[in-house]
Amino acid sequence: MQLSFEHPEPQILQVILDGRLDIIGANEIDMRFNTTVSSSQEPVLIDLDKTSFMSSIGIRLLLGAAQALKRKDIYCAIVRPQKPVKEALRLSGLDQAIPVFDTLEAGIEAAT
Amino acid sequence: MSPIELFASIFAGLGLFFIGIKQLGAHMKELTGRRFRRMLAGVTRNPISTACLGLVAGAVTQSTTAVTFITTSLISSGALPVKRATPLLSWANLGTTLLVLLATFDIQIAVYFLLGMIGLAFYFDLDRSTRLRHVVGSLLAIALLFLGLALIKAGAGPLRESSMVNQVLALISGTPILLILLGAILSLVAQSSTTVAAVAAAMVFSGLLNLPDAVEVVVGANIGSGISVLLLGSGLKGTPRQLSIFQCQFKIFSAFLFLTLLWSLKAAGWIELATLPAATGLSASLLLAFAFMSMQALGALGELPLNGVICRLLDKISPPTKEEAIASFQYLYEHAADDPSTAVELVQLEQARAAGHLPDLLEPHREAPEKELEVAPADLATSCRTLLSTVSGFLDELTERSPSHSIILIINREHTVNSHLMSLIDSLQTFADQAATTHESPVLARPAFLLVEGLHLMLSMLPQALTGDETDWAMLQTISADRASQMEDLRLRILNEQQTISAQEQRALFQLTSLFERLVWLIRQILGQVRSSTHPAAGTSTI
Repeated sequence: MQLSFEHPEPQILQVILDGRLDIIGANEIDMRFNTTVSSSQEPVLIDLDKTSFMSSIGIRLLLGAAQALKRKDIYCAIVRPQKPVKEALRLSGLDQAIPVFDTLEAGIEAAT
Repeated sequence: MSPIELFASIFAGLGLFFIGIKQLGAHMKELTGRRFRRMLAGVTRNPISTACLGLVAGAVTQSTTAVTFITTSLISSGALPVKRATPLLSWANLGTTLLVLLATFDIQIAVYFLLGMIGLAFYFDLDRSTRLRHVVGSLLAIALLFLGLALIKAGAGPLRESSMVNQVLALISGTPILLILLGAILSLVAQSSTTVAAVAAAMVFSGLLNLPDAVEVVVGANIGSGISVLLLGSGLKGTPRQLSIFQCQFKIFSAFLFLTLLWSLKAAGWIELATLPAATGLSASLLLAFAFMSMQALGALGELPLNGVICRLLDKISPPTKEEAIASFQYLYEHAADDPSTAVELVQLEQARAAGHLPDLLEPHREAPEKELEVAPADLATSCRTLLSTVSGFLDELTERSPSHSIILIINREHTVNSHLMSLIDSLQTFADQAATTHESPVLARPAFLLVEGLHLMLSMLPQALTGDETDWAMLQTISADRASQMEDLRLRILNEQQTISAQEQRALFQLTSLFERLVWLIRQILGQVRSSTHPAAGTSTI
């Protein structure tokens, strides 16, 4: 699992998750993901364009980070999930807790 | 009795004995509520009342095998800890010998009367009564158990008249090892050292056997009955198995102690068995009964100071199984009910512990299983049910003890959570069974994996929501929103997209989505109960 960060806009942090977000993937990125995302002072967009699989542990990772941001009143959303991942997010009910956008632009617009 | 009849009688007896033991265990689990456990805990706390209870149990049942397995079922149901059961069993061994001495109790007739009374109870539908069905079931199990033992004894009884047995006795007379071996074999066949001791006493009385030989046979019978209990309990695991091991070592230990004492006295020239009847003026058969009694008494007294060490050893030889650990209280303790408000918090921790195991029921049905299960899902579900059922019994006891109306309201709420958790386990097992049927379906495998993963997420968040902070609760409350329309959409989409879906797959799809809906609803109901007082208007929480 690869984890990278970008700034599509100066005040927005884009977190790119590349690979399978299962127990192995979650363990690989857990520390770095949580440290960076939870300490962010900018709105966070979690980009799942390159995420091919998402298990419940992966969803909990996203939920945990989103909860930490919520406590600081910082915006967080998921952008560009692939169809199977989007379906997993929907059936797990995550889309009820974190906004999900099909495009990066829609996410940026909501965050600003 | 022909050899075939003899074998059939022993075989049928063993069959009835096994049915009785299994049924007794099942009914005892339901019967041994907290009140009964408190009573038993009270009696077995005092060494004298333990000794009395053991003596009575041994004398009434006339079989240490039966006492061992009845006590085992009490241990399995959590009614009695092993440390208090072992002295009880030691004294029960002595209790059984009282009947060798008295030799008047006709257990077969008592069993027939008991069966007749149980038949009447069935006729009057008492077996369907919520209050009495487990009592009737337990009595039936006890009757079957004893009928089985009686059949075994009836089958083994004609051995007394067998000329072959008599010839063998003449051949081995005066050879301790062979006599002990014979006693052990006879005891293994008869499933009772008491029976062999009684038969040996009869043979001594009729002059077939002399007293020194008969004593060696009885020593062998003692060892044989221990081995027999060990064999009968070989199917048991964990703590319940400890008692069979204890009984086996007790019988061997008491035989060893008795033989050491006897041979020492003989070597010192203080006792001579052959001339003892004449020297004491007592009959040889009565002296044999005394020998059998003193063997058990020596064992019971000899092991009293060693009980702690023996229990620690038993724990090492047959440690509690993982299933037992799950089903036993980890937070609630014997006197927890004395402080109701703390007890309620401990109940919540036990419920959260049961909930923590629920995601594992789905593990085999995930697209990418993430861990090796140490306990099979079916056993895990049973252990969680047992734990919740014990929690329910504890809540009943708490209700009886709580004078405060506010505490009773909280207890009722915990009762509801408990019952929802039980329903969650039942529905989850059905869901898992249904999900298993979709693994090979090209149409349903993928949606089923997604549903499993969604449920897995919610279930893995449940323990924290039950005991953790408000954020965990609110998050789960949000993601477990009503799924009726979502499931309807999923059904319609799959049916529209897949033209080749079979009737069986359609049925599986409907069942799977309906169960998913129900499970999410149950999770929501639990959450509603958990924080109903602190979150009267449970809303959603979007980040």
